[in-house]
Amino acid sequence: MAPPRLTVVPSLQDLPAPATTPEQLDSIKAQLDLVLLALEAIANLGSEAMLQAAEDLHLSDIISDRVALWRLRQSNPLRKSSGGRKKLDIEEARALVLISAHLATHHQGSIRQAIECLEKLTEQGKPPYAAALLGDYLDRFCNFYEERMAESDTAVPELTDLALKLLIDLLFYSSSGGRRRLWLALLDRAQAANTTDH
Amino acid sequence: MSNVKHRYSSESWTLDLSGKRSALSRWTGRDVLRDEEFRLSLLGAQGGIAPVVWLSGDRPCFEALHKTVEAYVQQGLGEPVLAKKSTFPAGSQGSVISAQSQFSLEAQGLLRHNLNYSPNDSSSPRKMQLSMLQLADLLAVLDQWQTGTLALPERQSRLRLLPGGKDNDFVVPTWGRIAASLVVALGATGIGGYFISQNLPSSDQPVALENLPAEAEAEADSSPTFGASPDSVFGQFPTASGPPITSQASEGDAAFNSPLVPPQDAQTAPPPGINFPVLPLPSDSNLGQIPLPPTSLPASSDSTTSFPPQSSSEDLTIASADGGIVSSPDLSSPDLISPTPTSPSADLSIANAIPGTTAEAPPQPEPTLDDSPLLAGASAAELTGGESADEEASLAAAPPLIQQPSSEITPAPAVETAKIATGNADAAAPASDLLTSAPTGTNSRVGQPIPESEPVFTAPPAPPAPQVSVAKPLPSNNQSRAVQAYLQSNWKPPAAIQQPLQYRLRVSPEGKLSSVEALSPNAQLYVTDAQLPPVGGTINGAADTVQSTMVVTLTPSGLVNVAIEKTAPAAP
Repeated sequence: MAPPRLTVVPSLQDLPAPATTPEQLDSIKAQLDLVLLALEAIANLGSEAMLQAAEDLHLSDIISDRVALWRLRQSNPLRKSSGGRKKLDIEEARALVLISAHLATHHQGSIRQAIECLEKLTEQGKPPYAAALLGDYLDRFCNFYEERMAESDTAVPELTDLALKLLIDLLFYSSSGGRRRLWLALLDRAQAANTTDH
Repeated sequence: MSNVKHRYSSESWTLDLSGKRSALSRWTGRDVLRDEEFRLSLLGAQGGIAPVVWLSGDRPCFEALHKTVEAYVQQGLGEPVLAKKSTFPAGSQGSVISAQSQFSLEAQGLLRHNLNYSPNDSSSPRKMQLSMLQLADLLAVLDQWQTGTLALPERQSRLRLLPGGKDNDFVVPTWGRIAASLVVALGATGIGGYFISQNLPSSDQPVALENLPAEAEAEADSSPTFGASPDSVFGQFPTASGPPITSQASEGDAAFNSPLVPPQDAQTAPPPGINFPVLPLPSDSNLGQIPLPPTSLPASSDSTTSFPPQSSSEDLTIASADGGIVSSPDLSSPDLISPTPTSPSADLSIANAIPGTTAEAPPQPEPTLDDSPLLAGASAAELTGGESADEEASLAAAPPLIQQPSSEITPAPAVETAKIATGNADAAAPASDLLTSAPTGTNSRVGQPIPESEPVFTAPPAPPAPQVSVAKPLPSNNQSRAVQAYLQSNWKPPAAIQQPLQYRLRVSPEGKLSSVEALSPNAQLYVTDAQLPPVGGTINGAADTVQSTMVVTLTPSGLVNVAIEKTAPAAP
């Protein structure tokens, strides 16, 4: 008889909650918003899908409706008119991490397909825009970024690099340990940003 | 303890795990295994190509791989995405992460990664270029494995020998020594108390062995000595079924009759402060006469616990990336076993990957506290030189660690390969034998028996064994001649190849190529250059009354060698 297997339910407690400085929290907010932006672009998602994911993960008490989600995402300091919005706390950040990883897992097929395209095009020396799937993703990402971010005059090549990096990251967030990887990456980046600032 | 096989799959990798499930699995929610064996296979990108076993090994080896891959990926993910130039993992080519293991990864641009494997010996390091998807899939299967199983931290094979190589100089954990001392004291107390109460006028006087009556001495002499059992691990310890040391042993003492670990020298003395008559301590050579507590958890089936028996002796659980259950071929199936040592695509087995397992090898430093059970297993796998004949005993049975093409062209059938009767006979055993069963015979070099439970992966190997094939290929038939003719007209060796390429082909009675299996990573790499007939396609003149399995060898010089491995009559 095979031993009983425990069902792993993603939970906020799966993610460590270290003490963070306001600067680190700012970094986490910005990075998380970009991850969600990439997910929106690759899977053509909207806020409904994110709210549904919150419900699936029993996080409705943290992200209850569209307004709450919008307020959380607006806490990204890179956003246009982000000032004065509700500040993201560590628990809300962890909730967004669970949602991001959950959505990445659900759309792993699209992510893999896009990366497969990217690998082929890179081998052939062609630009990413040569494939429709990647081209659409890049277009959407750039549009979202320019619409929402304060630094909207970022050059397209830089935005493309950013979009592709986020796409690759999503591949790793879509695996079974994705939420932990995303959370650790956010903490690492926040730490790096904090060090740079000082 | 039942055998269990797991398969963890992702899009491009398969990790096969076989081991023995401990009864502890019942309480942990996931399998607790011991004697684990792993095979990591890269799935063929081409249709009809069987998975290529890229790495075989034990848990420490694969844990090192997992740590390396995980650290590399996490480093890449941790890089700021808002940097001006983003690459994976660190923004520049050639960034290397080495988890102080034989594995390392380095980035080649944004999407390519070189996975390097450097065996801890003089053999040349190996490199595999991974795409981003392959890297993610590799991490996924390793994650699946890590979350799915636990390992028992204690194994008999983790006993380390001192550099001197004395068979009875074992290093045991501190707690083991303490426990051994207590048991010695208790045993001595029991014996002493017995004789005191039976034969001595005054029980207050200490008892010396020479004062014992003759029958008691005879009884002591007839006590089992370590090494009496041919099944003992090192030829000097009692087996689990060994008789108790005295007739006074209670039922509870039966638990002490499990495989034992001898204490080290005089540390077997009872701890000070225990005030009772004590027999003179036996000399080192007699230490084995004193039963000690087991150092490892009892086997499930023969333990005295009341756990319900496992429903089957061998379970097969296969987890795919999507959570589905798929059927799995038996790991012991010769078809799935990596190319045997006698194949031209001979494995770089542990036996020929790590030299220096003979007595001339430099001595290892004495194990320290760092040699915890878990670490000991890792270091055992990383040893560059053996320390004793006992290690050689397990090394000789080491299975292939990694596939490596060989320059030899010996297309002998794997399943018909005979063991070579050399001093290193077990090292020449076919991989299928080694993967499915531990050696049970007596190692000719050591002269001591090896139990079936002896893991085969946990110690450094014997020197390379000569690869001699004593089996001849079957005579050629229409199918082999047709394949030979086809390949001779099509095989144009690429300039880059240095080693022969080997493939196993199956041709149906209708003359159609039914499957192609690359027998080495190189063969997998150059499968499109090999100009093999298309799978499912008909080969001119290959119709016959039988179905043939043949090994095709394509050499860099342009030669083609086709050897029939086996034939089967056509289905009616």
